[in-house]
Amino acid sequence: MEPLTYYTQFLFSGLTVGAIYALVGLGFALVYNVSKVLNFAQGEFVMLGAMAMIYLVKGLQLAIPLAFLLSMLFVAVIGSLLDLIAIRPVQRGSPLIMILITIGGSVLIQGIAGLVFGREHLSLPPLFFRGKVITLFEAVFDPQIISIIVLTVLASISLKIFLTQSWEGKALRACGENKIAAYLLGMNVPFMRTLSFALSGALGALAGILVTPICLMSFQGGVMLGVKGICGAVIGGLNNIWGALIGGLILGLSESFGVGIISSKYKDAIAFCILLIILFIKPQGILGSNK
Amino acid sequence: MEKKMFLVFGILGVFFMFGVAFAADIVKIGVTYDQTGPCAHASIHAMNGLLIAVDEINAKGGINGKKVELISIDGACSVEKSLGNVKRFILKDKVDTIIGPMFTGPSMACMPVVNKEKILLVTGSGGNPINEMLAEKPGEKQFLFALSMGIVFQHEHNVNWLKKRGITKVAMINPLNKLGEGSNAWYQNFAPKFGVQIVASENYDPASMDLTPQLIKLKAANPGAIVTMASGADGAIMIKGFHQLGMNIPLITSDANVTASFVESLEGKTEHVYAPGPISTAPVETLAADDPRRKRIEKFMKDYEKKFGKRSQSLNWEGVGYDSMMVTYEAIKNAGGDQTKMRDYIENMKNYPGINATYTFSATNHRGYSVDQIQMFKIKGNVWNLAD
Repeated sequence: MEPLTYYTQFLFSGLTVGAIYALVGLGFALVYNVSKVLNFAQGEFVMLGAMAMIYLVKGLQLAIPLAFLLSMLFVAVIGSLLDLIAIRPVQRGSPLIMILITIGGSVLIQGIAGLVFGREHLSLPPLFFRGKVITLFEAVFDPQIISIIVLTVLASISLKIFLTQSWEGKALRACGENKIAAYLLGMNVPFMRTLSFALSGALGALAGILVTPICLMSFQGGVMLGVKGICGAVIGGLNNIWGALIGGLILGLSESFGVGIISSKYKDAIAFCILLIILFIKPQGILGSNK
Repeated sequence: MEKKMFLVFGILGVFFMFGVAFAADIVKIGVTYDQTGPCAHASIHAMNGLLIAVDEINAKGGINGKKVELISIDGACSVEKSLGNVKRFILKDKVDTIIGPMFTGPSMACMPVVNKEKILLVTGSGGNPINEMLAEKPGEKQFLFALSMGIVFQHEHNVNWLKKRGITKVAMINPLNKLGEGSNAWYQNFAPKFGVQIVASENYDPASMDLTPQLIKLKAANPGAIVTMASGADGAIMIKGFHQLGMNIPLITSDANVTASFVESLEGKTEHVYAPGPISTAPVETLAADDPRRKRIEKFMKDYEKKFGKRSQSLNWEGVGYDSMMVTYEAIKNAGGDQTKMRDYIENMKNYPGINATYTFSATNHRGYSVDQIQMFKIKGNVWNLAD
């Protein structure tokens, strides 16, 4: 078999995994940009979106577009609840406390999900391009990934437009950049943060629904996805809206090429090495800027 | 004053005696199956089978008149947790016997403890090298029994099946854990002796979300079949990649996949997928009407529906739990509380009829299986069926 085939396959596999990380990381980056909260429950938003979709489509037999919207709505509500119940009471606390609370929230959500949805790995049928495969130089690629990348790009563009052009979006950014000034100018900072949690919940749900046809989902599936998505967002730069996309793709590609060229044993080690290198050389991330 | 104290102690003593008497009226069994974690899909079914066995035993009055009581703690597929549970069963709960853990790594970790403390442990672990250890050190008394086909018998069955179909070049892909290591080692060492050559070998991190990099390397070696111990989520991901790459060769997976939920997770892409299984895997209607196994399986399925309100989900895994409890029951019934006698009793059991197999144990076979207790199954029409 030609080396070209191998490298193309590694590329495809890296894009597959990287696109998943990118979409997961986008929600994380959004919350951070607005409220400087590192939401370690982002992975659980992904898991909940997938579980809700599975329940609505397979359990209640709802039409897919309706189930899609309801799932995103559901996780948006969960995200808002997480902010209202867990973050708002300690909003004047240190960032470390916020992080610990989101981690606690993530464990709680996992536990409840395990009881409600069971422990098995569950699947969804592919939403787009059912059963089709793209072949190039004898390497294969699931076109579902194209939909993930396209949606991640669209979501990033929409967010960028929202955050820079609309009044509400600028208000969200203002709250993130200088909370006190935003307060003084009469902005409802806590509401803005809740809104960002709701949005990132919806984004997480989107990620979960698109990702499950590829790698299934279980009640603990959000943990690994969350960690990798957050890594990707940090590598790409948390204060740039394209950071999650670029960072996620870089993470996925380095894992895939590492597995293909070096060894499967070092898959996670390679990913974390890249993270460490980026943090040493440019702590703001690849696209990040000094602020 | 002293008379009052005497009275208090006397009353306490009576209560204490009642407590002791009640304690002596039950058989305490520590169960550390996994309810969470990547391997839980099999253990959950095993637990259900075990519960049915317990109901059956208690309905008949228990073991020598004592009811069976379970202390069940989740092992979470983790070595640390499972080992901790086993130690706690021995030291704190002072159980009469232990069932589980199911997964290879945790069950291996528990072996030194149960051998040192001399307490019986029955598991369903497939990857546990118990028979290999018995062969290596025949003098050492092992207190672990594993009521599943295990790697060796399963792999031996697989290569026989391949050889019969003229497939002599095989590629293998296994997870980076103790189970995968054991499988790799067996195929490398023994497959050539059966005339089957391993032309390519890959490993993968069980948490991987895409296995096409490894699969394309296997495809390049042009094998006649692929063997793997992938199961659960990584099994589904592997099968997806396998189909995407258009490989139309048999993909022989692990016996852990022979469940309805695994088939469902494949979302209809089920061609070329095989797995070895115990005879109980076959739809019960395919067994002869006068086959005694058929009666046992039908009774089990009836009890299952009565207890859980739905059809048996995975008879072979439920069978592991049921058979584990029943073998333990026989040991306690016939050898009383002496752990070493119980161990020896099981070793001497021959042709014991269970759900999954007719078990014949020995000093060198703590699985009770043999190659002819195993059959090859294929997913046909979204159900596991006997392969031709």
